[in-house]
Amino acid sequence: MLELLKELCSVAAPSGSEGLLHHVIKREISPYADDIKTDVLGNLIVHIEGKGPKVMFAAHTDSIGVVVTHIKENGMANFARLGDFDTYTALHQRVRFTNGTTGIVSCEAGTLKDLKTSDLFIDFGTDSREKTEKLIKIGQTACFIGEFSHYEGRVCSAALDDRAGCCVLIETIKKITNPKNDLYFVFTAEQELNSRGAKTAAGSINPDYAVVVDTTCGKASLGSGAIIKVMDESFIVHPYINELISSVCDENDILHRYEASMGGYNDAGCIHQNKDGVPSGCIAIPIRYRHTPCEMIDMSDVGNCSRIIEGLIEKGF
Amino acid sequence: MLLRDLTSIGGVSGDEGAIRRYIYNNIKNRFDSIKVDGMGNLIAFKKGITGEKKILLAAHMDEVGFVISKICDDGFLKFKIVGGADPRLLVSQRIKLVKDGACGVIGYKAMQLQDASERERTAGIDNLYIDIGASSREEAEKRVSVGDYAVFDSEYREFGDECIKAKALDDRAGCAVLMSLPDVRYDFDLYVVFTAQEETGARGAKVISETVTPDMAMIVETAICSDVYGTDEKDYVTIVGEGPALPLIDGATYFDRPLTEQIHKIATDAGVPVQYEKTARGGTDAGAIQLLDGGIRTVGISMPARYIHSPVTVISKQDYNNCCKLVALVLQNLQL
Repeated sequence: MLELLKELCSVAAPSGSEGLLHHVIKREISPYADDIKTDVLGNLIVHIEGKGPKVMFAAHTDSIGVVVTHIKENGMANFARLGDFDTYTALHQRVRFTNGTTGIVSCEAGTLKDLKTSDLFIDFGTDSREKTEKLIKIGQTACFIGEFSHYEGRVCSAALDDRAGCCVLIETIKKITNPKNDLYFVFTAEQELNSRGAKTAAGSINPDYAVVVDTTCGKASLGSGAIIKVMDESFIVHPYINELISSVCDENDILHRYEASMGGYNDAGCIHQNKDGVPSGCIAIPIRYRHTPCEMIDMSDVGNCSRIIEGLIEKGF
Repeated sequence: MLLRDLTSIGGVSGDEGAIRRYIYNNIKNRFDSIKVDGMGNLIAFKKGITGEKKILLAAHMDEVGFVISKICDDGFLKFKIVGGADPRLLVSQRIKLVKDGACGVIGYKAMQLQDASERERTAGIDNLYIDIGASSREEAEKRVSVGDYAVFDSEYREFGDECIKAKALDDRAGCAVLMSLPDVRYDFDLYVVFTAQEETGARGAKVISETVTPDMAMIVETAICSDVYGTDEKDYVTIVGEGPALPLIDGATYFDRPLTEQIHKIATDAGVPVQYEKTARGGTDAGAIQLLDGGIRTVGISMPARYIHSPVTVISKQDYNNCCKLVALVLQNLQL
């Protein structure tokens, strides 16, 4: 799983450009899927047929990033945020555009004390608007570069949120035999822009149940097990789903903890409000330094999340 | 004159009736059917020759305005803002009551009586009131009720280098563009939707899928334009006179890039000036429409407008005309 995770993290796919990751996912899961399609918003929807109620699993493919809003006379480019991150986090980071161009984020003189996004700009090493325009255009997007490294199960990289979740879904798909439910695995788009992809994916699938795999930077420490979200800012877990997850964990002796928080968003926030409501849950991978180029997770937590999802599919909804 | 008429009518979010009637009467002979849905959206339909695809155009009818919230003992009226008007620009504005066109002014304590700290602050909405010249509650109650609407009292004016100043150009300008579409039948089914309650959160747009799920939606709006004194070039967003603007991303929508690039090419090939909206802020009906059902391919064409949500919104006549031109060209040439 480590090699797959590394490959997924290496693709520059900020919100809006999720399609750039699809070839990797398709390559992995094509032999196992009954149907694969991409929808208008850029969701990759994988269907594994089965009788029984429809269950939608989701993990988001987009990472945080930036979008160019202006190219200055001196060749520097101003930008807006795609998703939520700290201005100081962006400072002096390298960014990679979807067309391969790279640049460095810097700031206007004297703005360090109270740094705003409008004080930041990207330096391409050019000195003129004309030269920069040969590299990128207004509206082009980039994500942060953060080298993938690992040591004894701890992984550090950009984009672990939520490529790690995507890994969980990919590995799960490969292990499915005799599903008890009609299964949809959605690699969602634009989660960092308020779960827009999840909303439309749920709108077209109309699932009976949903479970999201995302990351959480709440209180849990790395290596302490999969996090079962009871509540975050976007949703409250449905009691039936909570019960189901709980029994899967007990029956299979899976290390897990519960989390209730006033903060944090995940795709379940939009999915559970589809049509007349969808009982939904979220399994989360604990993460440090979320939404930075150096996010950190523990592979044992990813493993435990996988076991929960596999257990849910095995048990059936 | 279309823009003059449209901007003169009072139609605040939730009270779009007068605008809807005007638009209906103007367009009724050019469409196969027209209906009004439960939210007050006006939906005009023209069947396509093959009807293989469905295209939806949208502009919103409602404007930013005021609702009377209380009639005071002394005949003054308290009010709330409907939509996103900046409360700082309200002091000393002229308003008109929608129901009878009666005039009023938004007043505040005389400057001479304000202390130093009051002079440094802008008056919050709680300190403002509407003066309709009534000397008592009884007199006021004869003329107005709680829940009545008011709009900015601002006449349509042409000035300067082909500029237009008026209230409600956001988005009567968009409505005017849709009303000026060539009267032709296209290959695709055409839905022209004049939405209600956009300014209060795209509420009308949210129910459109009950009528139609199009293959593509194009929102015709006004674009943020701050190419003015005191703004850094990087924050202009759009520039008046440089043509209709294509949004790439705003606070609610990541627009369809391939379709937007096609529209850009259609414009440049035809020699129509065009620009991009250089921002990631704002929000329009696109925010609701793109996410309907399983997702709808959504683009926008906007007219740069200075001082949106104020009584003195300014657009360029040329940008308006070029916007009309571009929308027509897109309907003619777009490949879905």
